[in-house]
Amino acid sequence: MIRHLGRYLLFTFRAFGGMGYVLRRPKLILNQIYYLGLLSLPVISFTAIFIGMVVALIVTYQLEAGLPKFYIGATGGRTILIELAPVVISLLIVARVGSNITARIGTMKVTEQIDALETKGINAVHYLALPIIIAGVIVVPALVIYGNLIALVSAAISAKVILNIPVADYIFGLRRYVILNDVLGGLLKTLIFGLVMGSVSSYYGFQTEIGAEGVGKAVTQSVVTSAALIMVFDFIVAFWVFR
Amino acid sequence: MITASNLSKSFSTQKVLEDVDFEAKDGRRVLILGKSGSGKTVFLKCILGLLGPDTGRVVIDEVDATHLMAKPRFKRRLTRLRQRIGYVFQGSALLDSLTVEGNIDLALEYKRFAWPERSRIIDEKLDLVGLERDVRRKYPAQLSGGMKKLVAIARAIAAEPRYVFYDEPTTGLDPAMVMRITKLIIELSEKLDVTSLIVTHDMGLARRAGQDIYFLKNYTLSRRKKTSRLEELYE
Repeated sequence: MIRHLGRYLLFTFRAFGGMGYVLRRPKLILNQIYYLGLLSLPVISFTAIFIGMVVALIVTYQLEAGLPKFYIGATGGRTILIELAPVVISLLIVARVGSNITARIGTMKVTEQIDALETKGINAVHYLALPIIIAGVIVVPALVIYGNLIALVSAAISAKVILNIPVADYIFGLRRYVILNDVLGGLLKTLIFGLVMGSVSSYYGFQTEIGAEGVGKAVTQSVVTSAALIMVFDFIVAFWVFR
Repeated sequence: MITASNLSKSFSTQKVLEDVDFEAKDGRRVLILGKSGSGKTVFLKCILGLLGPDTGRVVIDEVDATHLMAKPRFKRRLTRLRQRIGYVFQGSALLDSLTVEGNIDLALEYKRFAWPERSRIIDEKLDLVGLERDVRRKYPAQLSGGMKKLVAIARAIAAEPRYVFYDEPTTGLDPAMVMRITKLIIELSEKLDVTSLIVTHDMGLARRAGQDIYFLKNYTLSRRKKTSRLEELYE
C-alpha cells in the first residue's frame, strides 16, 4: 500500500509537470470537461432529485419530536450542502466516470496505444492524465453546485407535496440558518474529490497489467481507492472547516 | 546505423534476451525471425527505449541510446532520437479516440508545422500507403484490420523517419493484404530510403522483403544467410 501511495504521488507530481503542454492544447481539457461534465448531467439530476426527497422525509420524521417546521430548511439545507450532495455526487462520478477513465487508459496500455504516444515523443501522462485531472477539479465542483440546486428544490417540493410543509417555512429555515461557510466548505471538498477522482483513476489506468483481467482489476482498485479517499478527505475537511 | 551489443533483458526471473549483438546498416531491410514468445518484440522495444535493457548498449546514429534511457534528464534527447524512428505496432495501436487524420497528425506534433502543411503531409502519406483520402475522418473502429495496419504505417512514416520498425506487420491479415503490405514495406524502404527492422514469423514476408536476416532463439540473435529454406530455422 505504501509503495502504491509513493507511486501515486510521484505520478500526480509528474502529471502536473505537463501543465505548459496541456495549456497550449486547451482542446484536450475541453474534451474531458464535455465527457466528465455534460454527459453526467442526467444521472446527477436524477440522483439529486432523490437526495432532496430523502432529506425532506428524514428531517420531517424528526419534526415529530416537536421541532418547528422551518427546521426542514435549516437542517435539510445544511445536510444537502455540506454532506449529502458533495459526497453522493462525487461517489457517483467516481462510479460513472472514474471507472471508465481507468478502463479506457488501461485498454490503451494493453493495446500499446500508450507506447505509440511515447514513440512519437509525446508524454502519455501529460497527454492523457493531466487533462482528466484538470477537468475533474473543474467539473466535480460544478456538478455538485448543480446537484445542490436540484436537491434543494426537490426537498422544498417534496416537503410541500408529500408532507404539506409550506415552502415559505422551508425557505425561511434555509435563509436563516444556512451560512456561506456551509456552501464553501461543501465546495472545498469537491475540489479535492475532483483531484482524487481524476488522479486515482488515471494512475490505476497506467498501472494496468496485461490482458482483460488486468483492466478489470485496475478498474476495481481505482473505484475502491477513489471512494475510500473521498471518505477520508470528507472527514479531514469536515474536521477542519466545521469543527 | 543501429547497433546493439551485449543486450540482456529479463522480467523478474524470466530471461528474455541474453548478450544479444545486432547491427542494422543504413538503407537495409533487416528481418528478425523467431518463434512466438521468443522475445522479438521485447528486442524491438529495447532498441527504441520503451523497455530499458538490464545490460548492454544500443547505439543509434552514433548516439548511445541506453545512456539516454538511464537518466531522466536526457528525456528530451531521447525523444529527439525516437523521432528518427517510426514504429508499426503489431495491433496497429491507433488511438481509438482520434480519427485517422488525428492519428497521423500525432506523429507531426513536434514538427511545429501549420495545419495546412500537416494536412498536406497526411494526404501525401495516405497516398503513399494506398489509402483513399476519404478515410481521414474515420475512426479506427470503422476500419478493417488491414486498413488499420496501413494507417499505422502512414503514421510511422509521417515524420519522415530514418528507421521504420515493423512488429509482425502481416499477422492476422488475409493473403491479399499480406501481399499488399509486403510490397509496401519494400516500396517504402526504397522510395523513402529508410532502414527497416521487421519482426515476423511470416516466411513469405521474410523471403520477399528480407535483406539481412537474424534468428532469435535461446535468448540470443544469430545472423543467418538468406536461403530459400528459412523454415529449417524453426526445426
